[in-house]
This record gives sequence, C-alpha cells and structure tokens, in this order.
Amino acid sequence: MKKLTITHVSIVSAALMFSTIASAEQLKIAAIETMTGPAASTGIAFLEGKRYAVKKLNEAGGFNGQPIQLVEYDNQGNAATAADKLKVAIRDGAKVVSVSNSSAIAAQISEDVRKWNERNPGKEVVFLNDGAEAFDLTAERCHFYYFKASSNAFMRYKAIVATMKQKGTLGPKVYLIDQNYSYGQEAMAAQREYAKAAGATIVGSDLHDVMKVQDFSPYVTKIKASGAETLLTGNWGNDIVLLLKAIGDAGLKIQIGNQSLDTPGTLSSAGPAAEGAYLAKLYNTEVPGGEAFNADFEKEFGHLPASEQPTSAFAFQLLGNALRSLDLKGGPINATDIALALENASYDTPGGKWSVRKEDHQVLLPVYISQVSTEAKNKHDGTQFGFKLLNVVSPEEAAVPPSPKCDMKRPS
Amino acid sequence: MDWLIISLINGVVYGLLLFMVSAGLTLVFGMMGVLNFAHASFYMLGAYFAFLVSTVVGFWGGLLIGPLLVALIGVGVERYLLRPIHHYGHASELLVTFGLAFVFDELVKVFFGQFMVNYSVPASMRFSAFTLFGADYPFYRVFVAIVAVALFTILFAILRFTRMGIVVRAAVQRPAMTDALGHNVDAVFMITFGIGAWMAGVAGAVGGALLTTSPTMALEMSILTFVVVIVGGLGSLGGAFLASLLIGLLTTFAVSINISLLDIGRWLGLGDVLTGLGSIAQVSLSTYASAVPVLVMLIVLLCRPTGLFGDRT
Repeated sequence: MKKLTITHVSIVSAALMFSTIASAEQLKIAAIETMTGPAASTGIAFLEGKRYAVKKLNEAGGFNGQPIQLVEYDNQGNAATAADKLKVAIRDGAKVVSVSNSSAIAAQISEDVRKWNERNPGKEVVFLNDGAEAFDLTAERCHFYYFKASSNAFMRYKAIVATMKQKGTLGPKVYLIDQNYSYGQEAMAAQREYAKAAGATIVGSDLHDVMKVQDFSPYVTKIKASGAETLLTGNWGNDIVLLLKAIGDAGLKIQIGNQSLDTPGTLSSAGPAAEGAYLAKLYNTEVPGGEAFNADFEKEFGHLPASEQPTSAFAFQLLGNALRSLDLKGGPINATDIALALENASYDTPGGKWSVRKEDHQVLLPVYISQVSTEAKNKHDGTQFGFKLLNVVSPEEAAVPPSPKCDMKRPS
Repeated sequence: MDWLIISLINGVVYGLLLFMVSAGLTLVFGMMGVLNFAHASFYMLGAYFAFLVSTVVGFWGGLLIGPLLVALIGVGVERYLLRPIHHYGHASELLVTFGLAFVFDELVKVFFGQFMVNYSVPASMRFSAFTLFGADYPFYRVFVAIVAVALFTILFAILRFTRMGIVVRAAVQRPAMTDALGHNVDAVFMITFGIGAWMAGVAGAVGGALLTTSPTMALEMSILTFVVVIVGGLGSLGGAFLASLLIGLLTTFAVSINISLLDIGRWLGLGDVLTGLGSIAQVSLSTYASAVPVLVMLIVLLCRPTGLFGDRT
C-alpha cells in the first residue's frame, strides 16, 4: 500500500504544480501487469520500475503541460484478462500501453493493439513491452506501434557466451536444458547458436515441461554422463532452483549460465550449488556510475533496484526522452507522433545507451554479465552470495541483427 | 550401465517421496471415503511449518514438530469443517476440501510471501551415503527413502495388527454397529484424518528441504498424488506404494531416453511417413517425461478402472 501512496502523492503534487494549465490533454499510460497469482512477484517488480520512472518524469515537468498518469490494471497472469483490460484501458483514454510480465500476454496485447490501430485510424495506441522477452514479436509479428524495450534470449546468451569465452570458462563440451515453451525454445536456439559459434560442441540438450518436474536428478545424471563442462539453461522459478539443487546433491562441478538467478528465493534455496554461475541481466548495482540511480531508487522503495525493476525504469525513461522531443503546445495527444518520436529516442543508463532500432523497434541495450560470488558488493537473499559484475557487454556487441521476417508497415 | 543403476536408485527415491505424500490421501479416502483435495496443501504446510520451527530449534526439531502442527490443523478441519457436513454426502466434503486448498494457498502467501523460502538440507546432513561409479550419492536422498519406508511399515502394522486398526476398519465398514459396541466413531474419524494430515506434513518437512518450499508446491504435487492414488487403487495403501515406485521409475527412465518418434519410425521402416509429420516426430521422448504419470493413469483406468489394487469404484 505504501508504494501506491507514493505514486498517488506524486500524481497529486504534480497535479498541483500543473494546475494552471488544466485544458491540455493528459498522457495516460496503462500498465497492464500481473499483480495477483503465481507470477505476481515479477509483475510487481516491473511495476515498481514504472512507478519510479513516471515519478521522475513528472518531477521533470510531465508531458504536454500535465503530469503523466500511470494507470494500473491487473491482468491476473492470463492473456484473456489482459485483453479485457486492454479494452478498458483504451476506453479510459490510454495512449501508451505497457506490459512486461509474460510473453504470452505480450503476444496477445501486441496482436490486439495491431488490430485496434488498423480499425481505428486516428485513435491509435502505442504498445511498449518492457520485459517480455519473446523474439518473434519483433520478427514475424512486428508492427509499427510495438516497441520492445527489453532484451531477448538471443541477446542474453550471446553476451553470456562471449563473456564465458573471454574469461576462459566456456568448456569445449556444452549441455543445454530449457523449458518446453516459447521462451525456453528460443533460449535453446540461442544457446546452441552462440556456443557453436564460439567453438564448443553441444553434447546434449533437454527440453522439459514448465514447472512440472519435481526431481531433476535424472537430468543431472545425463549431464554427468555427457561429460559437459558448461551448462546453459534458460530455466526460471522453481525449475532453476530444483535443477541447481540436484546439481549440488550430485556433487557435479559445472559452469552454469542463466538469466534468472536473481529472482528472490533462488540463491537461498539453491544453496552453494549456485556459486560461480553466470547471470545475464539488464542491470547490476555494481556498475560504475550507477550510484546515483541506486541511491535514489533505494530512497523511493526502501531497497536497491534488483531483478526486473531497472528494465522498466529505463524503458519508461526512454519513453520520457521521446516525449520530451515532442512539443504539442497543449494540443491533443497522438500515438503516431509518440511512436515516431520513440523511433529516434535514446536514454543514457549508467552502463550504456538504450536506443531504439528503427527496423524492428528492438531497443539496443547493454547486457550485464555477473557471477554468483561471495565477493559481490551487495549480498542477495540473506546468503553470503551476491552478483559480482564481470562484464558489461555493449549495446553494439549484444545486438543481434533484425529478423528478415519483420515487414513493418510505417504510416505514410 | 552406470546410468541404469543410478537412474534406478533415483527413481526409487523419487517414488518413495511420492508415496509419502500420497499415503495420507489414500488412507483418508480408504478409511473415511473423503477425497481430500486439500491434501497437497497439508504437504505444503508441513514444509512451511518445519521451516518455521527449524529456524528456532534446528532442523530435527522442525522435522518433528512441523508435521504435528499439520496434524493439529487436520484434526481441526475434520472436527469443525467436515463433521458438520458429513450428512450431506461426499460432494459437500469434496467441495469444502477443494475450497480449503485455495485458502491454505493464499494464507501461505500472506504469511511467507510469493517467493520460495530458504528451507534446505542442513550442512550436517550434506554428505555422501556411498560412492557409485565415481559419483557420490547424497545421504539426504537415502534418508528420504528410509523415512518413507518406515512410514509405510508403521502404518501397515497399525492397521493390520493392532486393536486400534481393527476398530478403525470396523468403523469404516459398519459405523453404526461400531458405535453401538461402545467405540467413539467420531473420534476414530478425527484421528484418522489427523494421521493423514500428519503424513502429508512429514512428506512436506522432508520433501520441502529436498525440493523447494514455495507457495506453488501444493499445486505441483496435487496432480501427482491423485495420479498415484488412482493408479494404486483408491484406498489401497499397498497399491499407492507400488504405484509411487512405478511412476517414480518410469518418470526417471523417460528422461534418460533420447529416442524420438522418428527414430522408432525408422526402425520400423516408416521413416519417410514420419518425416512428413515435421518437427513433432523429431521431439525426443524425454521432453514428455512429466506427462508419463498421466499416461500411466490413463492406461490403468482404461484397463482396470479400480486401479491396480482397488476394490472400490
């Protein structure tokens, strides 16, 4: 409740600031996020990032002479509810819609926004995806009003494999384990591609059901038998914890690369098996120059930015920079103008520049590779471990080329 | 052949863990005819209570006291929720336990948060029981197996050889007659339900440390426990024991099999036909390992609707 109050207070105080020009149209951003259900923990982390950035934007003057309003809708973790909430949001006058938590929901919203925009010229909305990682939304399903301010499995595993190679921790034999759904399959394709390109041999790979496997020891037996030195896995939630526990139980020493070890509860549950594992993330508080952002975020929420909060915070600051380049002089807000401004937008984060690529609206951004270590500055999860920053892979190095399947129709 | 023996041991241990969770469910159904949908929630509560108590009095204390707290809750549920609606038949009991599962889920989230908690095997138990083909086998997994076998033995002995067991069995078959003979049937049912909850609690206390202790653990386990109980035959303790081992072993071995439909097709000389199916034919069977339990249930239900050892339908 406290967090809500902060946002509300900021809106109210900002509203007082701007009350002199009341006639101008106010920009409403709809955050259709998972606030209840099993995936709520991640959804709320993203929301905190959005609330933080909107507060900052309003302190810097808002948009169109009015404070920006962040309206929150609970999608309850499923695509059908999200689709309903999108209709409500559009009716409420939202011009920008943002979803972060799940690729399935993002796919639904992207498709619905595309249809709405085609059927309602002049009333378009922009969809800013600041978290869902599915690659195909910027490939065959890309469209002009869809912006992807987050990475994808290809960017993360390109960065992880490059850092492993550079540090000499990429074994000649690599094993892959991923969850059998869109993200896991993309992660496996990415791991396979970059490990092979780095000269490693894939000695085995497994796709398994999401959150259904209770006992990972049969998989660990397979990994052991394969003689792999490196394990790349896109697993998250229980699936990564159980995998790490089984690896620890079997006493298997293996170099792990993953993207979700910082989910609360993961390090503490996985125990010492996690030590030395590599993590690909879009921020790390150890980055030089990040002190101001860390401290300011901590002042706002009582904890350091972690997990997914920075992604949303940076994505919304990027949007803020796009808005700053527009001067509507108090006139009506048009989503097409916002989309055109977003195409040229960039934002300087502590670890490098975020900028939108025009071809497929993928944001190019730095990827942070850190290692689970006792030497990390900020300890995580009540353990003696934290994430020691090893490498910040620049936006140019982390970028993967736009998909040739993206055929974007731009407004003429 | 190393992997064969290691997989065999892994499968048995996993199967025994499944048995521990399902034993209470099949006991309560067999004795009272109540299909307890909240049973997996007792498993989850066992893990959380053991975690909570272990932070104060250590791991062993948690293992001992945690399940007892669950048993208390079980007794309360029977006394104050199930007994008053007993006369309305099984459908009402089923719905109440179904609702309870949601209540427990939400309560756990309120008190312990959305994420998993740090409940794990204590350092003093992190050693290898034996070395097999140059690989250490963790002691804790052996411990899980021992606890499961001990539970099975104790329960079986009580029901089969003690006076209390005779009363319980009599109360199930002829409640009015048992009552008339001066036995307190209500108390028998309450204690039986409490023991069922206690067993789930023990499984949670042991299994929560082996696997994870999170708000989703009940949901993940509940399907598996129902599969075990149905395959084994509703109400049959021995059936549940064998079904757990069967499912544990089959799931474990399915992971190790890297054969796809296409491979089988080629072997049968049907390679061209299956290539036409596209990528479906190329997916390895191990991908479907977690569907194996449900597949086993389907086959058993088709061939023997009462389950392997069931006498009820």
